[in-house]
Amino acid sequence: MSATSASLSLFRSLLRESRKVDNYNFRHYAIRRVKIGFQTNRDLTGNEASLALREGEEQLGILRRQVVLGQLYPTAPSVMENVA
Amino acid sequence: MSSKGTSDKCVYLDYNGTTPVYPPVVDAMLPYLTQHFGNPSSSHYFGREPKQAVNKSRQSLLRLIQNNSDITDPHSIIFTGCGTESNNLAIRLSLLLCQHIADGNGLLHVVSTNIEHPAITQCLSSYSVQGGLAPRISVTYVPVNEEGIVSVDHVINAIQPNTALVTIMTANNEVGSIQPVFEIAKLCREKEILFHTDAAQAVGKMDLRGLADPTTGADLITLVGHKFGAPKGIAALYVRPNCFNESGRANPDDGGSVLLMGGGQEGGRRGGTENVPYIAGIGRAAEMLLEKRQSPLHHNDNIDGWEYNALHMEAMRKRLLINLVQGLEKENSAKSTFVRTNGPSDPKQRLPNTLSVGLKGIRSGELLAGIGMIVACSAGSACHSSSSQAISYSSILKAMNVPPEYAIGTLRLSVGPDTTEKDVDFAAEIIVNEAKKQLGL
Repeated sequence: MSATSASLSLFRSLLRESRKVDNYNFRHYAIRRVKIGFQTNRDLTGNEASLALREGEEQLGILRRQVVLGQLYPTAPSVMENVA
Repeated sequence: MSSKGTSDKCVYLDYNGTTPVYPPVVDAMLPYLTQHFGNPSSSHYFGREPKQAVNKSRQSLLRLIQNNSDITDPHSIIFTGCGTESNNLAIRLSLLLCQHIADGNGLLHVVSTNIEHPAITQCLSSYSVQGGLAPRISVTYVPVNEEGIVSVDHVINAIQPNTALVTIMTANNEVGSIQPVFEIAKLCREKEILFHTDAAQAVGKMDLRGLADPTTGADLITLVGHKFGAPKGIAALYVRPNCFNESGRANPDDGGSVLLMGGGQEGGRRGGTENVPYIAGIGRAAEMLLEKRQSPLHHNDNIDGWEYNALHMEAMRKRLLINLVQGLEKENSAKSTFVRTNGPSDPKQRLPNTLSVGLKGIRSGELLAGIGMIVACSAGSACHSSSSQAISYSSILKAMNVPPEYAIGTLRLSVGPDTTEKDVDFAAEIIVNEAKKQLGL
């Protein structure tokens, strides 16, 4: 898998998992963090790019575990979920 | 929009009260609640990973308060159970080690301000009352100005020959005023007076590097986990190495514990098996504050996580204030201002996330009761009463000479790194509507 397709795949995975986060504020923070993180690192190449990808994979692992925790111990929906 | 009184979780604007535990922090804690359950004091296999986690967290916390090149002994960090314990420990250690400078009556002296947290004032009180804890002390509470900031000169001028300790909070929890603790620390060091600062509210909101500078920094610093994304039940006290062996100070117990006597953990200063999962959590929370992010203002610059959060929180605070002012002042036909902010007007002198706002003619306690199921925040006044004279309000606001008509209507709104614009707009609308109801508008 090329570096570009690997980072695109990671970006999509991170966004997908972020959208599943149970807590309203954490969910929006995660989405924002993913978008800004990839924007920041979009011009990285070589070792720097590999390191950033590895960090992204770690963050994906954290997100997946936290999504599961959120499903096991759901919080009450925020009033903001219904606000347009 | 959901109606009041439902089980829907409300908008949270009380980050100064406590913060949610951030997901990466939970993630860092879980291994120490499951597979790595060992005691870090054990010399066998099961103790190794927990011990490494504890040491790593010490380093992470030190990097928050020291410049990288200055990192001192990691064991200058003592983990405690809460900020109150850290503050009590700092005060007790200082007093016990300075008995050689007591005056002819055996009295020591402490300098503080009149806006400190009860974890400081109640502790000092217990040493200063008749029949209280030993050693006996007298305390000078230096008053703050109308912006809630203490004068460096007033603090230094309050020092006496028997002053054992100067203790001043880094930033106030109610109005967000930042105290000149870097300058005071430097001057106390020159005068060889121990200086402690409770940095509970400041961590994650301002740059604290240099606060524990080995040459000019504070001797004792309280750090509190649940104010920056770690769980409740974990805090730390930074103790500058050798500060208790200088200027004639000598611990009669030769470095032993003065509050929790036990198994000699935390360098002998605090007995008790270390709370490894929570220590891992506070360490991770500290690391998050120093992770580099792209600056939202200058896209070519990378800034620390705390600074990135501070910029976001400042923007949310500003939006919240604008919404409140626009919502309320347009109805105001009186000549005086209806909405008054408490605390420093200069953003550099206050925390970026704290908005203490006085609403004239409002009783904030009653307003909170009306909105409490939808917006979570705190108030400057406590009492529900029809007589304004019977209403008590915050001693911090009194110390700042905030006019009573604003103090009684003061709300403390504190945003966080994950507060959204929609949160702010919604909360402002709810507060404005409730305020208008109270005013009969």
